[in-house]
Amino acid sequence: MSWSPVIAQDVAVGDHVRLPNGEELSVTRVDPDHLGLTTYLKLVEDTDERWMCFVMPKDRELELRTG
Amino acid sequence: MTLLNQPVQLLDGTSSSLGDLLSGGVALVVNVASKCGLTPQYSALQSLHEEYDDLTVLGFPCNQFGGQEPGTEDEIVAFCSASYGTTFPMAAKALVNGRHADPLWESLTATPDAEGKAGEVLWNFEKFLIDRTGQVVARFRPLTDPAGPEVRAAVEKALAS
Repeated sequence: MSWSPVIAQDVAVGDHVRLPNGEELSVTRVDPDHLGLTTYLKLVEDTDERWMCFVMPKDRELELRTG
Repeated sequence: MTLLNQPVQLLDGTSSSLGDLLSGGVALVVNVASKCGLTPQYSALQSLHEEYDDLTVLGFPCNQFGGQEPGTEDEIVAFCSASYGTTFPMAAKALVNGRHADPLWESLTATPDAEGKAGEVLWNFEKFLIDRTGQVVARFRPLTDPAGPEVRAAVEKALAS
């Protein structure tokens, strides 16, 4: 398992990402804005395991799990 | 469909029902969090709770939005009391969205907002107004000020019914 940098706005459904705070998320949905704030997006994990979301600036650097 | 019979587990570990908590009045149900930019809404929620005799604000801590309610029950109680002097009842931590959402929240989120949009809670501090019969009569999105004219008008209309 390895990680590579990715910008939040480039994250796609199906990606597994790690946020700067160490939280990991299996992305099942990307909402293009947050409460009308268009410089933010919302990454959502909606699985049998949990429903969780994180909101961040679109230019936030995350880590994408690869391999 | 009335929600009065819905069980509510409180933060102190005791069990109640929405009907018992309302005691014939109306409720403003809110998913809350301690580490959110909207957390200061606790002040307005407490003001509402104090201002209207037959209104019960009912907070449901939830950690599903950015992990902004990570604390234990004791930590949540201590934070709310110390920071905002809250006296309204607080439920146990809840799941408001997803496949394992609490039944009460499944019912609440079926209610559309003023723009006709139902479905998921969008973020911390969404508010649902429940009337004396246990019907959801209004839904307000997170950015709506709890003490603003929109919520007040809906509360006063529900109380007058």
